[in-house]
Amino acid sequence: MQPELDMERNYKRPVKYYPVFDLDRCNRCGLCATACTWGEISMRVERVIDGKPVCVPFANKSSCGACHYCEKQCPEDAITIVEGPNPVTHRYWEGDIRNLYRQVDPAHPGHVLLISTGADSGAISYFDHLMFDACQVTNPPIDPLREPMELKTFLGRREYYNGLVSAGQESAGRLSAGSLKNDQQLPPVLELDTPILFSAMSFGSINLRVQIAEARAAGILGTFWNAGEGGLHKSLHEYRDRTIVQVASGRFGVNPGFFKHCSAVEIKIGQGAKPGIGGHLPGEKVTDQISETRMIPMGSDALSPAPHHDIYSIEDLRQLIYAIKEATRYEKPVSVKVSAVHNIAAIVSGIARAGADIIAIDGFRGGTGAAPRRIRQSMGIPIELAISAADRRLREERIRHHVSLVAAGGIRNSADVLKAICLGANAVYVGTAVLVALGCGLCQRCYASKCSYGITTNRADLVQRINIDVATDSLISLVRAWSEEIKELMGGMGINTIGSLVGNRERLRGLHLTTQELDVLGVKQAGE
Amino acid sequence: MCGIVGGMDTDRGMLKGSDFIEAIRLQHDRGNGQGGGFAAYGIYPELSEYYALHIACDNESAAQKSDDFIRAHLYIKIAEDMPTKDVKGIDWHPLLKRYFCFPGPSNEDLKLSNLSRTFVGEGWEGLDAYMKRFVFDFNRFVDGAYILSCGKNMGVFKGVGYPEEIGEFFLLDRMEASVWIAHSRFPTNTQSWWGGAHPFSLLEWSVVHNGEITSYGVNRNYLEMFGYDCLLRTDTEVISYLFDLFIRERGMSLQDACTILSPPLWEDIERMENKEEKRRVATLRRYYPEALLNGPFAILVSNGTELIAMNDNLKLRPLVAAQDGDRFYFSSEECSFEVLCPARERTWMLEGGKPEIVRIKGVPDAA
Repeated sequence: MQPELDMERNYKRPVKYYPVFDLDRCNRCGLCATACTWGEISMRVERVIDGKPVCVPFANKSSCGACHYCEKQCPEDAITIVEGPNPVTHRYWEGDIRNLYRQVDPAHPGHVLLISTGADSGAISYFDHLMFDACQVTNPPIDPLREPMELKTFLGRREYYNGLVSAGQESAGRLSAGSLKNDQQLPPVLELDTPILFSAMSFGSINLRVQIAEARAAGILGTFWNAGEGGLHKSLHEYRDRTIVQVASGRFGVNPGFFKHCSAVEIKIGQGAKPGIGGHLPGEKVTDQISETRMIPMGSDALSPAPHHDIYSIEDLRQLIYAIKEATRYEKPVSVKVSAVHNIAAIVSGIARAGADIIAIDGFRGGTGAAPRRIRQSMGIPIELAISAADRRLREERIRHHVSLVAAGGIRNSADVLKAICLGANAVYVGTAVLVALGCGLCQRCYASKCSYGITTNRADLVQRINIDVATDSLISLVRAWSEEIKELMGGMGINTIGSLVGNRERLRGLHLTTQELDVLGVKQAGE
Repeated sequence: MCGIVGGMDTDRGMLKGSDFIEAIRLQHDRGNGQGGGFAAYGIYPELSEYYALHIACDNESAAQKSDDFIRAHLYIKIAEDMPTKDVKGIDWHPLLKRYFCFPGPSNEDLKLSNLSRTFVGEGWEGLDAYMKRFVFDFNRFVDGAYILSCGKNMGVFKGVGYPEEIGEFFLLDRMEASVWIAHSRFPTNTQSWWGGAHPFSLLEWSVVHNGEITSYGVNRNYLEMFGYDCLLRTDTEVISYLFDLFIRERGMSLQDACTILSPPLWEDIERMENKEEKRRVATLRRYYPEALLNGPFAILVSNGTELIAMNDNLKLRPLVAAQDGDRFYFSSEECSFEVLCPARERTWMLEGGKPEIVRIKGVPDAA
């Protein structure tokens, strides 16, 4: 039969990635086909020996997203993932042509493109344009192997006087040493052994095994993990001393018990990857455990509205902050997480005045389980600029010590951590780095719930790919390695306590930045 | 590298300026002639109710602007040129002026001791607070002139040159004071200018410093929130401002303030057996990380009744102490004690992160 031309095939997307099999190495075990959750690899009969078929792997060239799971699992190292050679001749349209085809594909007509993890656009990373200072001659560097280096960090409100004296008043005389208010009267704070926290990732977007690993690692590391907006599963209650829970617009799992099993409560206003956008966990993903944790019926869609339906301005936020403080008897710090947007400085100032103890700012590179691609790529601003602007505004308004700032969104390594701190953060949230520490190859398809690594899925067969003990150890290794590197950087700068770097832009210099960019960052040009 | 030396008689005796000039001369190699200075307390006993302004002006027009500014904001008891003499090694010096004055355009009949507050703009505030604002406004608005010191019954004498030359230039060899602190400068971070020499002073507090404050950016950010403009292009000024903030404005004890500026390491705090002390230190560290001084430093600080010697908690700069009866001395190098107190009964090395506080007898730290 003569093949027919078919207009629908016009929208076939040029293959971008696919596996190549080295059949000389391949032992025909078929593990790759089992490993691949995306339907890219199938086994085809190569020949028949003694009446038994021998199968070889075959790339369908239909759905590979370069997660690299098959490649890593192959016992013979016989797989290489390659990028397809199909050229798009028009350089300006190069990045968009596949997406455009996808949107007119008759299989999913007129749909909003979804994507996961943080923005992968080529926008400038300010972190890469900042250099640290180091000690030479006039000031000795400190060897972290010989001298103590202190990373201890406190998050929370620190507005605090000795009691009787307020600014502008002449003191009646000195108070006796140590005449502090009682501990009970001091605002609650979180004590961290390292300024790195695990960012909010909900039960639903990731699975319970990953959350347990985060919670255990946080306990051993002396830091905190954030349970995200999907409530807190009862098996996580035992980690309450290391848990930050979230109250988001969907209010999933928020009940009195929820507030008992945490160290701090975070109100989620926005997320860097999708500022101003809600969330949608499809009903088919709402398993019995997720249903129980989120307090919604099994199989029903879990919708997070774009706004909190009781927050239409700052005064409403204040009410929610104080409702939570009342519910937790003022024993737990309340954090507010917002996306880094254009007016972030004024927003942060308002949140500080509304009574928040901690403000987390999530830059546009922050990760997500699912977001519209256009939102992820083009809404919000980089965390480097946002944290610097927020820190400066709070100082100008003389309320910087009323809140702690946590920077999030695109922190890739320990130098990024320290640069964020020098730009004004007290600590940082890491999310994507947590996933990568579990093996994630950043294929950006978490929304599909087919994660081959078993991280961003709740499918019973895939979840088993996560070994909680191995995952816990990986997270511990990650944070310990970064902490050591931070100590090395601090030693070179001649600083032995992390508090002396919070907002210390004197220790940074900029490269290849415009005067205006340097100005917003508050950083001098290298050589100055 | 810099050299520092200081001393106090806790029984209110007077110490000779010539001894301190000689003591800092012995540390000649710790400086490079780019700055030297002295702070002396108890030197204006007849005018002890007046704030003594020591002012340096680059030229006549700056001096005129400075004079106008002072007359607009303060009542002036005495205005005069600072007594100096020509000294080999000091080729140029700014015009140096001295004013004895008092907040507010008042008249001399007003009994000063009855007036503890003054009315300014939005309300009543303390005289010290007024003077603090005056100093920051002056430094900001009067181009080419800067206030070297503004405390009562004290003064700072400093400039570009070796300290022994500066001491002679200001005729300090003929002066006696209850407390002296002195400095020889080897600048590494900022260019030398008369206002940038040590000591740095605000109201009664003055500071000399050997080292580098690597936390300067954080300290400055914190101080600027409370109205302290750091305009002198040096890390040392933050120290005097921090003392002023915690002790005068917030009414803290000197002990608490010293703990905030140079606290023990967390691992040492964990090991503390005294629970009250542990709570005090841990709370102060927890709440005032921005005021902690990081980097290598040896510092002498005084307010006339107290003399504080402090080292960074890793002890990266030299600082030794000596006691000779009621008299206490601190120095970068022990050699200075051979002039100041050859018959001393005790000499010891300061420990890192453990401030030494010497106080005039009978004066309590806290009310």
